[in-house]
Amino acid sequence: MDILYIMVVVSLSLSIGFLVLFFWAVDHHQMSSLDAVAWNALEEAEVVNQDGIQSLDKSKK
Amino acid sequence: MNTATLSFSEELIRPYLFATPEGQRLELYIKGVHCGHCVYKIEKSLKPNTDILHYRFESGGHRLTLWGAPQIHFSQILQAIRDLGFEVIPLTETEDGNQRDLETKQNLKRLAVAAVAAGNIMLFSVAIYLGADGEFRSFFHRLSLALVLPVLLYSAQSIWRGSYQSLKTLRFNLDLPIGLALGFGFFMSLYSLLAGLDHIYFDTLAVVVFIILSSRMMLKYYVDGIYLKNLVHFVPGVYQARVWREGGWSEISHTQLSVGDRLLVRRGEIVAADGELLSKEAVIDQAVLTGETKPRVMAQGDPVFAGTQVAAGEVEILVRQVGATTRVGQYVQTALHHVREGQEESFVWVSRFTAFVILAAVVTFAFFAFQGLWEAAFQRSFAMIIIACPCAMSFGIPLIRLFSGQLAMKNGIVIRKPTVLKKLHDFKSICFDKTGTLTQAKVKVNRDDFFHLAPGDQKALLALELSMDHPISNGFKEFLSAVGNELPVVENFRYRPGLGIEGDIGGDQWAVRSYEGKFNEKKLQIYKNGEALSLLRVSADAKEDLDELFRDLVQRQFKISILSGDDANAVNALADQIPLESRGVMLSQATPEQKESTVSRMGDSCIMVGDGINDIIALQKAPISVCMPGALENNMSLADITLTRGYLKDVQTLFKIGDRVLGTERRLFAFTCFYNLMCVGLAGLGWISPVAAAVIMPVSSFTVLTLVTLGLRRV
Repeated sequence: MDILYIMVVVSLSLSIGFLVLFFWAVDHHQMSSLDAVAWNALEEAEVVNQDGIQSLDKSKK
Repeated sequence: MNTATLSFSEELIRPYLFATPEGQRLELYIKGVHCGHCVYKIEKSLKPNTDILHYRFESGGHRLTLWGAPQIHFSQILQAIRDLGFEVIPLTETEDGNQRDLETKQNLKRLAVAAVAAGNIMLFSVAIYLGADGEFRSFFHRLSLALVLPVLLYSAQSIWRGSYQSLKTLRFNLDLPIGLALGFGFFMSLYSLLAGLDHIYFDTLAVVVFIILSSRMMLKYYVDGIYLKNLVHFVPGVYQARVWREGGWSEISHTQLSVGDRLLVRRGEIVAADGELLSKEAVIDQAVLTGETKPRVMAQGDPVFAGTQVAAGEVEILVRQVGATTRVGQYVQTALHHVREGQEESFVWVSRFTAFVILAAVVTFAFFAFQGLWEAAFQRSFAMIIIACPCAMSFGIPLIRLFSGQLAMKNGIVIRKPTVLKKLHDFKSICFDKTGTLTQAKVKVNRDDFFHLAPGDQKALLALELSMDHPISNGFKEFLSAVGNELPVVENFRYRPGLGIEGDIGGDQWAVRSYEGKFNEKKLQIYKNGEALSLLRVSADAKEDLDELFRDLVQRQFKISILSGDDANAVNALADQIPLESRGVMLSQATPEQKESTVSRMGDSCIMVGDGINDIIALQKAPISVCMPGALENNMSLADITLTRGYLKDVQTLFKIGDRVLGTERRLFAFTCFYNLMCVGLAGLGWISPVAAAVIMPVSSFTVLTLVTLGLRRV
């Protein structure tokens, strides 16, 4: 039954390995929000319609 | 295929550019990308351009970042993408935009940690349930503890944050009882592990956190998708508009349009502002606003709206509203406002509901704990907390506001405050202005009578009438082309409600007075220097759907009042069409102040429907104000509701939408009460475990979404 200890270590290693790869993928824009950019466009259109296009210059970082 | 002929210019794109060491950067949102082939087509168009240093697609191809050399012409690239059939919208890199993206990434990471930990803990739990004993049992419990710690400390951060906010502001939300249950469950399990007891629930805690996070993420994605689908296709992007400037047509940014501009729009181009059709005829595709698949043929003078598309030829439009004040702009503004503020309306109910759930869970826990049944105490109270769902209040109501606003807009109705829709049911009194509201806005002036006057008198009369915006005055506009645009100057202009207008022209005193006559045989008496000069016949036909409107209102048991500056005969002719028992106040030759005081006297249950400048104070006084197109610049921002098409049947549509909103809300609350009472009760009786509760709860959320979608699909 000592094999169980080895199995647990292997299982946890695989799980941690998956997490590392997943975090890497997320940090490298593989899982970017599909909607965030659409919200950007919507909220900027709101600003532009009210204040005019030149106001965008002021809001830029 | 977008066949717009207006192009981007570098000037238009400049505010969106970022300087980089190699040159410039531009971020774009591309509407219409829905598969890998779309991305491939766009990539293919970028490759030949050697000024592009590199590019990156994100968010499923919706976001494109371009890095270019200093001499790059981004306008050509944007035009090339648009020629492929995609709408291109440049973006600035705002903090909010990055924040939203960052939040999504963090949520994904937390969900992944919860999934991995919960999966592994369940493997150990299965072994324990199947009889693992002795050192393995203890080993698996300790491993479970080690794995549940990242779930509670990292993955469940949003729940702790929500609980903290709830306690800090004393506005209870569901994160509070869940947070309390997770904390209590963890410490109870830890104590049991150290004391060698059996009440260990690390598996339950990990799985519940995973299911809660994944269902919240799915729900948010789905609800956000509904909002975006309804709103983002109204975003026109940044583009040129063709306006008449200094004797010729110039292309300017659509954001530089002003009221009064003449706009030229060609086939395939999007109309950039709300306005009035100057061309004799136009074929306009209104699908984006109304969903109609067939383009409509519009006549001169008809309203044209921003966001619609010219289907044939080229048309000239007189701009009446721009930007946020257009019909679609107002709809987007209101909808965005409610996306942000929608929770405020329901927080009181969510707060009370949560307090009730906490109380029920505490009582259940105490009941079983005092009997020494710790497992039952924890399992039942935890299940009750998880399965309870105030979804009807927390997102059902904001969705109802969004859908009802869109349904109204498809029917030409702009609603500034969606909350008024459900209140319509409580109102039993309605006041109408007459001219322009119940009758046609444009009064017909008899041509023979007008051209019977001497040419000089024609010009003077036109100058006097066109000094104000009134349905009778508007009826004279058709004579402008015959008489010519050079009209004499009017001094000391005065408007006398119910009587007429007067002014001084070239030293002569002119006056136009209302002449008593039967309805449809109205006359205007023209005076020059105090002497009667001529009688002009005018007629203002009742709107087509007037009979149907009155019938519908009578059926709804409304008291119908007519408040008019016109003479008594004209008002009585309309009143005759209303049964006696449904007649309210019939006021003729009323000043704006008299209209206002009449509305005031009717109290809190009066709806006022009007159009002209002389209705403004009455509209402001009424608890619910409905504005017809007329003096748009003034009334649209003051009225709660605007009927942009001017049809009386839209008043009926408004009430039908109100009925739908009320019906949907009632069904929603009935379902929520039934679901919560039944499921919380079953959980308390021990029939639903915490894990099963975590699975059932999102099902109720999606049921709420379905009820709202079906209830407000159409009128």
